[in-house]
Amino acid sequence: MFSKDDLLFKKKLDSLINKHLPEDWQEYPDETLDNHWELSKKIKKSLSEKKWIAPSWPIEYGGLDKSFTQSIILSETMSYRMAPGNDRFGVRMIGPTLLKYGTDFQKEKYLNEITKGDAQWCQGYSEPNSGSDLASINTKGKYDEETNTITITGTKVWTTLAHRANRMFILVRTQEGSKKHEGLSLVLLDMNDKGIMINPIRNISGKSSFNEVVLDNVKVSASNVVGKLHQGWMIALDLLNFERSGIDYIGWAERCFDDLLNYCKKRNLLENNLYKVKFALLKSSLESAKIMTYKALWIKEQSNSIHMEPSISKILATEINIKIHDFAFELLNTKSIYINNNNKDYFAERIIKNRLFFVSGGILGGTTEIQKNIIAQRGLGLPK
Amino acid sequence: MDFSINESQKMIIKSLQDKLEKKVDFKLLNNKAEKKSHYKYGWNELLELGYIGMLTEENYGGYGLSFFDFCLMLEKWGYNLCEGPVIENSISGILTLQKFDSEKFQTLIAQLSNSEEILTSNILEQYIHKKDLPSISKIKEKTLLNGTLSNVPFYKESSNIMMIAKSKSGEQVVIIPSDYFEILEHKTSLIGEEIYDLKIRDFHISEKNLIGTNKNCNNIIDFMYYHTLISKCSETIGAAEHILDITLNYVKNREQFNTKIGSFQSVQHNLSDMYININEARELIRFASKEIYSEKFKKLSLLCKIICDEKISQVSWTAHQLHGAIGFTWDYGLHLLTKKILINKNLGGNINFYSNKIFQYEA
Repeated sequence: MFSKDDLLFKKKLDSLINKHLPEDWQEYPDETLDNHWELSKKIKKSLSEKKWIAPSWPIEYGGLDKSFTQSIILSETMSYRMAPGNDRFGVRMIGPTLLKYGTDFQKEKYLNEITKGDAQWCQGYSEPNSGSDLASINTKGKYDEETNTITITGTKVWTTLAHRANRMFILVRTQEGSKKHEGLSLVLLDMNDKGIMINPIRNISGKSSFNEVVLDNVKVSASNVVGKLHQGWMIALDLLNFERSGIDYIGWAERCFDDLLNYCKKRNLLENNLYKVKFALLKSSLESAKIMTYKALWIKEQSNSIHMEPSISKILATEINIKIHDFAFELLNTKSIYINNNNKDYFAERIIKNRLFFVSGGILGGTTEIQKNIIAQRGLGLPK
Repeated sequence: MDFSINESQKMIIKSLQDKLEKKVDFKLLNNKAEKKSHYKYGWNELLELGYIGMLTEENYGGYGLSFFDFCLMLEKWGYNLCEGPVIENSISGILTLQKFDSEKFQTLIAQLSNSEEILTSNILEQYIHKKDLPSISKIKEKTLLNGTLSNVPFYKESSNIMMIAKSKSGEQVVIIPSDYFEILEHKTSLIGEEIYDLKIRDFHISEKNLIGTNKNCNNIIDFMYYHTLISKCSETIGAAEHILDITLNYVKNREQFNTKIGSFQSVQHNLSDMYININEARELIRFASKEIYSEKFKKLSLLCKIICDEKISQVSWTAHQLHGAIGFTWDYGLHLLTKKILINKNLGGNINFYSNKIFQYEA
C-alpha cells in the first residue's frame, strides 16, 4: 500500500514529532490550551521547514509535489501521535479548495501562508438556525460594485478554533432575495478585520474548542471570493468532501485501540476470551474503515466528480472511533468515571474526555444522517 | 496506493456478467433447493470463457492472472449464485500445486486448468477440525490412508480430492483420486448444493499422492486455508451486491401511502447502511487479495472473514425487512441469496476461532 519512500517519510515524521512531544505524551491535542497551542505552532514551523505541512502540494506553494499518500501519512500519524498542529482547516479543507478553484492571487497568498505554518483557519458554515440544512444560511454579504467589496453581517456558530484563527472561510448569502443554494458565495476573511466578535461556547467535555462568531458589517475585498460571486454552493460542498475522509478519526481510533490492547496485556485481561473476540471485531472494523478512508482520499485525488466514498468513510471512521472508546470506557470501569486527583491515570482520563468529545464526530462536517441521505439519494438514486 | 480496476479486469467482470445473468432463474433455483432438480451453472460458462485456468501460469497454458483478478471474478460468481468447484479447483488445486510442487504436478495443473480433471477439497472444514483428520500409517511396509472427510462439496463432479492427513511425523497434504472414497452420508445445503461425508479405507499412499514435504506442510495448509477464506468472502460480497440491487429495485417501485417507499428516510437510511456494509467489507477483501505476499496476509484474511460475517449477514436481514412480506416468501427468491451468505458465513470457523488465531499471530 505504501512505497518505500512513503515509509521513510513516516519514519522521519515520527522523529520530528519525537523532538517536540515528551515520550510519555498522553494528552489528546487541544489547541484551546495555551501549552498545546504553543506546541502546535512549534510543530507546524518544524514541518514547514521541511516542507511537510502539505507534501503533496505543488512546490511553488510550499509543498514537495509528492504523492497524496504522504498527506495521508501526515494526517494519520499526527492523529495517532496525538500531536497538536494537525492542520485540518488549512491543509485539508481550504487548501485543496483553493488549489482547485482559487485565483492566482489567492493561491499565492493563502497557500504559502499555510505551508509556512503562519495560518490558522476556521470554518464559517453553520448558523444558529442552519445546521444540517446548510443551504438555509442567513448571513448576508452585500456586494458593492463601486468599491468591489462585500460587507458581511450575521452569526456563525460551532466555529472550532475561531479564537485562535487568523483566517476564516465563510459561506454567505451575497445575492439578495436568493433562496436555498442559490446566491451563496464562499469568502476568505481576515479574523482581525473590524466587526468580528468571538464568543466561546463550552462543549460537553468542558472545553471551549468552538465558538459563536458574530459579524457586524465586516468589509472584505471581492478578490477574496472563491470561484464566482453568488456561485459558491458547489465549491462549499466540494470543500466538505475534502473534510469528510475521516482520516483523523482513524489515527485516534488506532491509538486508542493499541493503548487499550497494551493495557489489557499488562493486566492479563486477554485470558478472557470475550475480550479477545471484542478486540478482533473492533480490529476488523478499524481496518475496513481505514481502507475506505484511503479509498475516499484516493478517489478525491483521481477525479473531480462527487463520489460516495467520503460519506461512507466519514461514517465508518467516526463510528469505529466511538466503538473503540466505548469499549475502553467499559473496560476501565470506575477508573473512567472517578478521576483520582493525586495519582492521575492519564489513559483513563483521556478515554472519558475523548469519548465525550467524539460525540461531535457524527455531527460536524455533515451529520451521519445527512451522509446517509447523500448516499441514498445521490449514490443509490432514491427519490428526494 | 491504487484502488482502480483496469481495463482487462473490467473485461473479465463484464464478460462473466453477460454470460451468467441469463442463467439466474429463481424458480429453477428454488426447485433445486427443494431437491426437485439439479439446476446449476457457472462451471461450463467459465470454461467457455477460458477462466477455469485464469490463475494458471502461462507456461502451463493459463492466463497467469492474479489472485485479485480471481476475487473480482468470484464477486460475479457469487452475484449470480453459480455453483461449481471453482474455488476448490483453483485454490487447493492449481494455485497450491503451482506454488509448492509445480514440476511434479505439471500435467495435472494443465488438466485442472482446462477441466480435463477437476479437484475438490474441504480445507475449510478440515482446518478447524484437525482432530478428525484421516491418518497415514505404516502397516507391513505399506503406507496406508484411513479415515473420513466431512462436508465435501462437489464430490460427484471431481476426479481428485486434496486433503490434509496426519501421520507420525505430523500433517501431510495429499491428493487422492475421488474413486477411492465411499459415501458415508449424502447431505443437501440450504440451497440444494450436494455435500458428502466420505470414507477412505486402506488407500495405498505413494510418492505421487504427496504434496510438498512434511517440512513445508503447514505453509501449504495455511496457503490453501487463507486463500480459500478470502475467496469465499469475495463470493459472499457478490451475493450481497445482488441483494442490494434487488432491494433497490423493490423500494423504487413499491408504493405505499401513495408514494414510493424508497422516498421514506428510514428506508433510505437502511439502504445506505447496506451499501456502506458492502463497501467496507469489499474494499478490505480486495485489499487483502492484493496482499498475498505480505506477512500480514493471514491476519488480514481473518479480519476479512470477520467483517464479512458481521456486516454482510446484516445486509441480508435488512433486505428482508425492507421487502416486507414478499421477501419472506419462498417464490420471490431473496431467501436463496440470504442462504448462500449464511452458508459461507458458517464455513471456515467462527468469531471465537478467528479471534484466537489473530492473537496467536499477534504474539
